[in-house]
Amino acid sequence: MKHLIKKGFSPVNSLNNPDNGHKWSLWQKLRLGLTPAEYFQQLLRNPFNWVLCVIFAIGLPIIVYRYVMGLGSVMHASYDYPWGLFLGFGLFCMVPLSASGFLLGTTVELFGHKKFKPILNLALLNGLLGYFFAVVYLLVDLGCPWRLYYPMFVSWGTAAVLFLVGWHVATYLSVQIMEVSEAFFAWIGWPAAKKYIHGATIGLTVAGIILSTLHQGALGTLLTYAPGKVHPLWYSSEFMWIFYLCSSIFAGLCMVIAVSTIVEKTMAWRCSREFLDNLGAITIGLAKGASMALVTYFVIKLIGLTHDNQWSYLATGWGKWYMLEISLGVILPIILFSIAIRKNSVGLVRFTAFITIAGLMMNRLNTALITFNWNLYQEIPHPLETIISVTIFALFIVVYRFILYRLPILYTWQSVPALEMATVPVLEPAETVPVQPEPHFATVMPSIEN
Amino acid sequence: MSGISRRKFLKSTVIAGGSAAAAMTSAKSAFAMKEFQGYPDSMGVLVDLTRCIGCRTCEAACNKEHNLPEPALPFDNLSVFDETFHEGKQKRRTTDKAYTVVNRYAEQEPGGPVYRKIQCNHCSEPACLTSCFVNAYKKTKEGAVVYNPNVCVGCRMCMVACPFGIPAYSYDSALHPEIIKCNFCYDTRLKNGKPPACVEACPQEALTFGHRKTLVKTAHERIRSNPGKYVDHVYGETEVGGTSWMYLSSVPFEQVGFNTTLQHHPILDNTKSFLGIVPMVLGIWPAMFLGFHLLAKGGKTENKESNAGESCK
Amino acid sequence: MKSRKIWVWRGIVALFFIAAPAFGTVDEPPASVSIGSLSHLYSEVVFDHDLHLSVTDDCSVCHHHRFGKGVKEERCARCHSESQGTFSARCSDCHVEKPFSVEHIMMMEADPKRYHIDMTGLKGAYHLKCYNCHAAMGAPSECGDCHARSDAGDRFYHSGIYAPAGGSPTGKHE
Repeated sequence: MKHLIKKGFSPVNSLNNPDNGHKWSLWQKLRLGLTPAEYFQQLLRNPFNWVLCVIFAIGLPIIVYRYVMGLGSVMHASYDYPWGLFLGFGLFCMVPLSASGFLLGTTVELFGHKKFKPILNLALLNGLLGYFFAVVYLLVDLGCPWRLYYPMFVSWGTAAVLFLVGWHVATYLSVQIMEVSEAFFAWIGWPAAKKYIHGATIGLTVAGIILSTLHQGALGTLLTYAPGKVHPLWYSSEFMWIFYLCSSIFAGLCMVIAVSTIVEKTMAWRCSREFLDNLGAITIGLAKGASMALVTYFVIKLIGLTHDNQWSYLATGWGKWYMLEISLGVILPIILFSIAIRKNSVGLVRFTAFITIAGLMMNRLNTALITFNWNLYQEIPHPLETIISVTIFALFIVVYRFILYRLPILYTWQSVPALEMATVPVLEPAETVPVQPEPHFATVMPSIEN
Repeated sequence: MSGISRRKFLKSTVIAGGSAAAAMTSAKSAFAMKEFQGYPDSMGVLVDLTRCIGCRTCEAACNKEHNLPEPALPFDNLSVFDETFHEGKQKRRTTDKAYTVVNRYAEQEPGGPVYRKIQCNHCSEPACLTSCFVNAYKKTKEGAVVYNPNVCVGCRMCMVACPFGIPAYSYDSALHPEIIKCNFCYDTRLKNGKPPACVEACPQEALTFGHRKTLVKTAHERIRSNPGKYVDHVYGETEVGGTSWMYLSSVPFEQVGFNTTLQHHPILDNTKSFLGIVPMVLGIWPAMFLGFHLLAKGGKTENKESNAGESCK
Repeated sequence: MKSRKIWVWRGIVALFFIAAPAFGTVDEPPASVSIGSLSHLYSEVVFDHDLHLSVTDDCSVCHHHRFGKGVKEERCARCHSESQGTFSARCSDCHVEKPFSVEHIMMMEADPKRYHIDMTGLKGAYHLKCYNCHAAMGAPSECGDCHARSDAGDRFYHSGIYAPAGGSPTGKHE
């Protein structure tokens, strides 16, 4: 892509082709305005695509194998460890890392901090995709994935925390789809729908806060069903939900920092000037928010330890592991963030964000997998389970990139020039290019491109 | 004035007081209803480990009753007691082929060995039931905790939640995976007033079937009338809020594989502090955050079409 | 003459017990007892009462009640010290065959003042008495030492010719 940009190519960023004033067709938009040959060439040029190809070549057949042969063929089929990586990573890590949507939605739309506006769409998309892929992980993990809708429509287990998680993730997913659909409608060229969604922004944002507060907390509460199985240092029947909620705040913010870093390094051509120009200041701003959440988290963790009087566990082997998690995932980021903020060092913020994400994942895996059954025995996830988890994550990256390349997430959709060119005779009211049917769009989704 | 006699006055106060008291008692009972104490006629089983001789007849009876798959070894093969799993840390447990298993413990103890049968304990307030988001479990009035595979989505939350590690899952089935656990022989026996197959088969009557509340008395009576024989505790009387199956043992329970660190109130209680905030968040958040929004706007007219990213400084 | 009479008696008693698998209502102990309540898995057990009488000279080793001598067990004697010996010492007079039937459970719970709420059934009473003593005395205590298993029993235990392929045929108490 960089080659093409150097040659003076500019990817689709408006309804009309600036060269001839024609509307871009859907196919052209999907190809970013490149010819098929050009598009294919740039696909092959990117070495990362080859890595993805290898992952899919191995992983996709294993996923098929899982559905044909049953869960037992790709997991240890353990009765003591009913949840493996699919939920331990896919649900427990992906959901907090996707808290970005509601956090920046609140900041920008409700509190009116327009400074963060350039990154809002990225944060919303990050939230949407994170949740969507948490559900994909769930579909692999559930014994009967075809019954995913049962808790909504068939049989209600209203007393269960998981019922809450299920409903909230489902509704929040729809809220996020609506939030991101504004960008989609702009891209596909349905201004009426875009306007309609825009009018609902505040409502959607408030709904997002409510649902996020509840299900981020509910995810932690899930583990209060297993007192004694989760190690006491990671367990607190009173505070579990607040630990999870609070840590999702810095996790979501750090995820936005991390993704925006990757975006800046690998697809600067797709970013608008204002995105790139403001990213440094935004990153520092996000770091401020994240460090406040980290400090709060650290404090309530200490309160939790004191409340349940678990200090004595710190002297054990698990205690060392716990202190390592807190040191690497909480204390170190607090120190590094404060240094970075004082020195206004974007680079250090970004480095710290990656550490914080690692620390968060360590925490979630610890509660859901590693310290689970701490008084029974350890179980290392099945190799195939690991491969499937990596494959789905690769799919996540591909879809993420596919959308970032096209929808106006990192750049602003140029609708104004189109109006200026209204005099151009080609522009008729009935101009809409025959819209390609949805299935086509879906089939292109997983394709690999640069 | 003197129309109201002393007696009449007294009578009226008694009536007023009585109705107030009645109101109070009904309020009190309504309050008490929050604490579910289990169904009054719930049945249960008292397992007396001092009687069990490890003959595995209960396992055989269970296998036959529920048409379970053929075992790996005959039920009279006692070498299974030497089987260990996960680097010797685990003994046999319930699987998708066995609702119940007997294990041997305390071989070196003077009174040993002691055998312990495990199966679903049929909690009064089961964690599997309360954690299930499709209500696949049901606590019947007879005391059985039964499972309905037709609504199960297969999330295996119940397996995470079960404090006794009982439910198994048929992972190998691609199309009809389901939770597999003891159902107290509910369909075939319990609902017809018959004891479960294992109880009926036990030669030593190590398993006593009856009303749970009677069994609690029986258990304490056995402890009381046999001084020194039993540990003075009925396992399951209060563990996780009480279970329909309870145990008596002559050796400390932790030596025969019981988890003695369990809480003595239902697992469901652990989620209540969180579930309590749910309606509060739903009720308070919209107004609060809209209020914040209006405050943040501070009367400024918001430019709806404002281009993204004018930095506010 | 007298000895012949005893033999006749014993013959009658033995016949009686083959018909009714329980201890008899007699003032004379039976020579042997056939117990067939587990006949769906095993052949009848013929209990040699005489043999056991010869190794234990006191009925109270096995029976709560003794003929005309009151009770011996300390715990029972608290209430029953004045009681006369009972006419019957037959286990099945008190220990019922189906202790967990609805009727029996209701009967036991009907009288709230009832003391004997914890009575084993007949099968339990036999095994708790017989097996525990056999195990303690070092007498034969494998299931098969008393019970000859039938074909149905082999099928029930998945043993003998019904043993799972690859499994060892039978096990033993260790």
